[in-house]
Amino acid sequence: MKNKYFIYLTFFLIFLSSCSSFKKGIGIEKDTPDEFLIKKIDKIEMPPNYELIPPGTKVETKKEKTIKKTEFKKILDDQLTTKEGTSSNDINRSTSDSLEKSILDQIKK
Amino acid sequence: MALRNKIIIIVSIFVCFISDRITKIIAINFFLKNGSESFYYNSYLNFILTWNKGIAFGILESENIYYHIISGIIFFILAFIIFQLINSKFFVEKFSFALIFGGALGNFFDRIYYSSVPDFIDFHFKDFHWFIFNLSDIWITLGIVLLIIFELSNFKKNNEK
Repeated sequence: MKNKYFIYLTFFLIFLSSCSSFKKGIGIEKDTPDEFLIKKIDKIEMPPNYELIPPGTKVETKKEKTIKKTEFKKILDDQLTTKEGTSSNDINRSTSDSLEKSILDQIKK
Repeated sequence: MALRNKIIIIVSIFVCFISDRITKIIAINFFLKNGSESFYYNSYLNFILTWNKGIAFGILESENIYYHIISGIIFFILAFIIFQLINSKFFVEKFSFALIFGGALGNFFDRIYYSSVPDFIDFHFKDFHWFIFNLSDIWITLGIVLLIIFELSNFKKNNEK
């Protein structure tokens, strides 16, 4: 009976107290990490199609591009309709001149 | 049991728990402020802060499932100690269990709060170092030593008859 009592008292002492070794305390004994628990991390890579735009540049959206195209078409049509009735050579020359002008104007804008 | 004895038991549990908490907080804050993990006091006593995730003597130190299993076992032991504290007939036995319970509660609190128990007292004689311990361990050991002495003495036998 007494032996049983002493056994469970020792069990209490072992589980309830929490003294740690001196060697570990001063750093002689170190906890080595489990190599199987270490997860390898992949190298850092650039994401695909990752391009940095220089600061201050205006990015043209699709909508803006289509608007410009339609405006350009409209100018061309206007030029053609105003020159109606003149000779074909004159028309060609004048339209090419006016076209050049209008394109240059658009670019300057 | 007389009311005076009941008060002594309850107060001793509180004293064990609170004294342990205070010393641990002082030690942790001291080492955090100074940025070191050891403090030389005299040729017999040093203070070194270590964190123990296992049980006594640094056994079963782990961070995975074993830690929770150990914590569960300790919880059941605490429950058993309360049961013993209530059912024991003699005041010395009750007082011993109160010391064990107060100390064990201090260590169990740290297990939940810090996920490990801080140890900081390092007694040594020349090059012989005992395990690093805390005030809770003193209370638990004292309680168990008292129980062993009480069991070995003939007082219990003579009075049970």
